[in-house]
Amino acid sequence: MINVLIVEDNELNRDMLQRRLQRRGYSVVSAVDGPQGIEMALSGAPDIILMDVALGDMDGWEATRILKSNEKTRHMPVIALTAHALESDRQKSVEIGCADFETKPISLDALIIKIEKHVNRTV
Amino acid sequence: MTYIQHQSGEIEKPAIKFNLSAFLDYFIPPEVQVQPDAHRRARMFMLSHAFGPLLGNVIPLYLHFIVKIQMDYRFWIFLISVMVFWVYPFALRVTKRYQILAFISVQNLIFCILWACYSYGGIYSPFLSWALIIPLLAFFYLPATGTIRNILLIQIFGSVGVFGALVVGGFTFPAVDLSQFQLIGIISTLSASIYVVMMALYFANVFREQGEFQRELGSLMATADNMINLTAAAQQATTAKADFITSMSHELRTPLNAVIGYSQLLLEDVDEKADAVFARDVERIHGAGTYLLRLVDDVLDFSKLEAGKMLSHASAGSLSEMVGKIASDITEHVTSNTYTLECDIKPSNAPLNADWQTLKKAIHHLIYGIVADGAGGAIRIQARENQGNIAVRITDPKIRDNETQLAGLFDVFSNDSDASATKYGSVGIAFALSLKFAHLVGGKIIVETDIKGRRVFALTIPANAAGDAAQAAA
Repeated sequence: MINVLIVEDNELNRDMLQRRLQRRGYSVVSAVDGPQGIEMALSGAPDIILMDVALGDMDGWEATRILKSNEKTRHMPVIALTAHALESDRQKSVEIGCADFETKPISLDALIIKIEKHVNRTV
Repeated sequence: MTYIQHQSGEIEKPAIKFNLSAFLDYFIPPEVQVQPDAHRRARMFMLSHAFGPLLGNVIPLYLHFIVKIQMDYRFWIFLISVMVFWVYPFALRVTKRYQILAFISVQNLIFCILWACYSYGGIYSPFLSWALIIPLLAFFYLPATGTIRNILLIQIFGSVGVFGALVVGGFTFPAVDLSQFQLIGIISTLSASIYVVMMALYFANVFREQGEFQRELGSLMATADNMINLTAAAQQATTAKADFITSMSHELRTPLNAVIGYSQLLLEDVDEKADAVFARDVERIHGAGTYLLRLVDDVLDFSKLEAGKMLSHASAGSLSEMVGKIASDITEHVTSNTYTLECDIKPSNAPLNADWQTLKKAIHHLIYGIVADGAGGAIRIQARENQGNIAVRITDPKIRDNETQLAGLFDVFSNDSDASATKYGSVGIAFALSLKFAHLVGGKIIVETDIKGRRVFALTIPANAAGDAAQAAA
C-alpha cells in the first residue's frame, strides 16, 4: 500500500482529499502546517508528499526546500498543490525540486496518475 | 448660438493684436523667432521700421510743403535716409542677417538725425532732440551686453563726437534762417516724444504679455501636476481593486473547492448505490460549484488583465498537438452541455513559438461563450499557421438571422444572453475575457456571420518558427 502524506492547512480540503485517496486504497496521513509536515515526513517515511503551497507561516515552498535539503527526506517525491495554474508557480515548483504540480480544484484521477508515476519511479 | 456669440466676443480683441504680430513675424527669420529674447527685439526692430518712417517723414514733408525749403542735395539725402528704413524689413526677410542689419540701421538713424542737424541749423537745429531715440532704439534692437553693447556705444558716441568736434572746432554749417524752424522745432520734439512713448508702450505691453504668459504657464504646470496626481491615484485605485479581487477570489476559491470536492466525494458514493435522483442533485451541486469557480477565476483574470498584471509566456510547440490538447481539455465541458467539438487543424511544418497558455484561455472562453447559449450542435475549430500568425476559426453551430447581435458581443455583461440562456446563467464575461487574452499577446478576434447565418470567431495571435527564436537567443 502506498503511504501518502498530505500537508494542507485547510481542514475541509485536507479531510476531503484524505478520504478520497483512502477510498482509492491509499494509506493517508495528514499534517496541518509545514513544521508538522517535515516532522511527519521524517518519522513516517511516506512514499509521496502532497504539499499545499499556500500554508501559514512556513509556506509549502519553504517546507519543500527543507525536505529537499535533508538527507533522509530528499528522495521523497513532492507534488505541489497550488490555487492557480500560474506559469510562475510551475517554474518555481521545478526549481525547488517538486516532482510534479497539481492545481486546485484537484481532479482525483489526474492526481492519482501523477502519484502512481512518481512512486513507481522512486521504487 | 450663445456659444458663438461668446466666442466672437472673446476673440475679437486678441485677433487684431495677433494680426500685427503675424505681420511683424512675416519678416523675422524663423531661427530668430525660436529665441524668445531675440524674437522680442526683432519685433521692436520691425515695429520701428514699419511705423517709424511715418513719423520721421513729417519733417521733410513739412520742410518741403510749409517752409518751402530749397530742394537741394541736403533735402534729398535727408528724405532718402528716412525713407530707406522701409527697406530694412525686406532686407531682413531676404538676408536673414538680423544683427548686421540692426547695426546698419542704428548707423543709418544716427546719420539721418545728424544730417538733418548739420543741414538745418547745426547745434541750434530743432532736430537735435531726435538724438534721444538713438540709444533707446539701439538697445531695443540689440542686447546691451558684451561686444554688441561696446560696438553700439562706439557707433553712437563716435558719430555724435564727430558732430560735436565740428561744432567745437568752429566748422561752418550751411547757413539757414532758424526763425523758419520754430514751429517744426515743436513738431519735431513732439514727434520724437510720440515715438519714444510708442516704443515704451509696446515694451510695456511685451512685459505685460510676458507676465500673463508666466501666469498661464504656472496654471498649466499646476494643471499638469494635478493630472499626474489624478493619473497616479487612478492607477493606484486600479491596482488596489486588482489586489482586492485577487485576495477576494482566493478567499472564494477555498470554500468552492470544498463544495466541488465534497460533491465529488458524494458522487463517488452514489455510483455504488445507484440512486438516480440523488446522483442528479449532487451532480447539480457539483456543476454549479464548478461554474461558480470558473466565474471567480474569470473575474480574477479580468482584473489582472486590466491592471496589466498578467504576463505573456511564449514557448515552443506544435500547432496540431497544442490545439488538439486545448480542444481535448474542454471537450468534457462541451459534451456535458449537449454540444460536440469538430477539429480541423492543419499541421505546421516546424514547431512554433507562441503563448499557448493564453491561446488556450482565449479559445476556451470563446467556447464557454458559445456553449452558454445552450442550443447544442457541433462547434467547429479550425487552426492554421498563417504568415507568422496562428489563425483559429471557431464556428458557433446556432443559426441566427439577426446580424446586429454581433455588436457589443465583447462588452462585459451586455451580450445577447436572451431567454435561451442556459443552465448556469449568461455568457457573463466569457467573450470579453477572450478578447482581452487575445490582446495580451498582440492578437485579435474578429466575429462575422457566415453564409448560413452562423457566428464565426476568427482569432489570430502572433507566432514565429521556434528555430528563429533560438537563433535570436544565440
